Amino acid sequence: MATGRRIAVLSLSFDRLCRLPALLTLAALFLAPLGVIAVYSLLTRGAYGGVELPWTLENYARLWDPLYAAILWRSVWIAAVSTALCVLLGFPLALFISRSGPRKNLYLLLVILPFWSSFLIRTYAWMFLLRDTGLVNTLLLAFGWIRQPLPLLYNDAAVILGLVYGFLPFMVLPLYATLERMDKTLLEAAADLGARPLDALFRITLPLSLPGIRAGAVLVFIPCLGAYLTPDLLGGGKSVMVGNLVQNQFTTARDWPFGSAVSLTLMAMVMLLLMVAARSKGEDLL
Amino acid sequence: MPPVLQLVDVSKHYPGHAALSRVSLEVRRGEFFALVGPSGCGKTTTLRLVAGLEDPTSGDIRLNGRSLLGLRPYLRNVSTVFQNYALFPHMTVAENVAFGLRYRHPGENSARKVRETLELVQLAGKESRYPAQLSGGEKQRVALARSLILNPELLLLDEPLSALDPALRKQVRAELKALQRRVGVTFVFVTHDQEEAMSVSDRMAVLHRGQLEQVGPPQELYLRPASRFVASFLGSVNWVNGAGVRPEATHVSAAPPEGREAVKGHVERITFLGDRLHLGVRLASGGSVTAQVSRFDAGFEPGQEVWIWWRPEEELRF
Repeated sequence: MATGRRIAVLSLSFDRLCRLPALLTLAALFLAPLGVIAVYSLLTRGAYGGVELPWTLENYARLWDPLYAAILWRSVWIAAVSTALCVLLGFPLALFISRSGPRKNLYLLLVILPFWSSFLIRTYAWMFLLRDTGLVNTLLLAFGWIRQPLPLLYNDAAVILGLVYGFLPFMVLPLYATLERMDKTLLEAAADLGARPLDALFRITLPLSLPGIRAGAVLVFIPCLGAYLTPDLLGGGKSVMVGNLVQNQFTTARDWPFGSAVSLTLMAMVMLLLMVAARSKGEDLL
Repeated sequence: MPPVLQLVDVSKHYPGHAALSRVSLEVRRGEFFALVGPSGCGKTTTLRLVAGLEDPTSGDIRLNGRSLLGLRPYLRNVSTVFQNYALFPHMTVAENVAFGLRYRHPGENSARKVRETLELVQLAGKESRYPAQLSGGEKQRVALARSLILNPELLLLDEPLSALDPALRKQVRAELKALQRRVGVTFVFVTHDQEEAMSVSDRMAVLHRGQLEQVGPPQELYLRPASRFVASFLGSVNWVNGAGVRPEATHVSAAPPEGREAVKGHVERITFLGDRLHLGVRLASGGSVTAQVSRFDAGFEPGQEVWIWWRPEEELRF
């Protein structure tokens, strides 16, 4: 008994030892900067950037300004629409891959293939496709289907397109994992009981893939909400999301305290959503 | 009236092997029919062909005289109890049982029908449980109820007892037989367990390597097997000078019996099985046999000289 207990104690401290590097890294590179941002968000802006005293809550109060509230709201709905589109596109794709037998590994590879090149370069590629003299407009003009180039770039639709394109794999992969794990005899049983394939899809496959959809939605929604690169390049100056706001405050506007307050608010929103998502079904999120 | 199910020269080939070769058989209305054979004999394939989950390579499958070929599973009035039960994990017992009603019997009072069917399989009170909260035996009864509620022409059962623990299996198979009698639905029951098949079925078919060996009532198959395979699949057989005899029909005497032919040997080993004993007898002519004797006939010693004999009508002929 005594030896067993000592081994248990030893292995417990060994576990702690193993956790230490990760904890230290997180503390140094995540928690500490977060603390700095929290402190900054309560200070006054300096004349040339930076922060100075006195302490104030003014930075948070400014978020109620309709201008900034609108940006926050806009970020939420752009992220929500992008996530919904990812579900609509990702579900059939994941279903197709999970049912394509020995070729599924090839298809999965194709899904993650874009990650092999830089997101920045791929977003630029979209700009080349969508701009007035881009491939799409050039072809449509050449075929005589349009007289004027379509305004494809620098609007919300372009931002949503870019976000869906960029984050679709984060929806497809967890969804594929869920569908792959599903017991295939359930579909045979459904057919055997009289359900046509479409009935079985809506009554069996879809409800059973909800955990995957939920995980994918979280994985897509969060980066969409904080997106900075895509709205900056594809949205032009018009379509500002909260990520661009933060960036502006730290660079051109030189208002670090307000930028910090916006960052923390964004984080709080994400945390709140995660908690709601976790609460809505007493399951693990991923 | 045509038989409820008719298989006519049915074959199923997969790349590289034939799962089923020219099988023809008939299942009569209201009977408990068993398909039995060792694993890989084609019994589950047969069931899947009837359910429409796979298509035969050639031959015809008829339900009440009408061909089922080309009919998708959801259009066939047959239902399957799957080996792992395939209950829908996100639905309650009542929702599972009601699942097929809207397709097969639209407009019926499903709540009442579900209640009645659950009472039939003794699951009343478990309506709102989820499959994960049920025991193996309860899951099996939900699967049964889910199929029976549709009142199918044919209920297909794929090894429905194999997921249960052995102690429960004998009890459940008796209940299954009683249930079949009560509802009058034709059951086609697949199993690899010959004792299970014999104990529940009115008639049974023995399959071997995708071919039908014999069809008939269990007693007939056991007592008059058409092939050596059927003989040895359904029970032990002693082979003496080319004749087959079941151990329980193999008699052992300490002295040469009067007026009968007998084979001389000596007791090699004695296995005590509680209610009976198995005597391993080494024959003088070479080879050995097992004789089953009542425990009241004990008194044989290892090494003792004995005579083996049997009634001619007990001899298995092919």
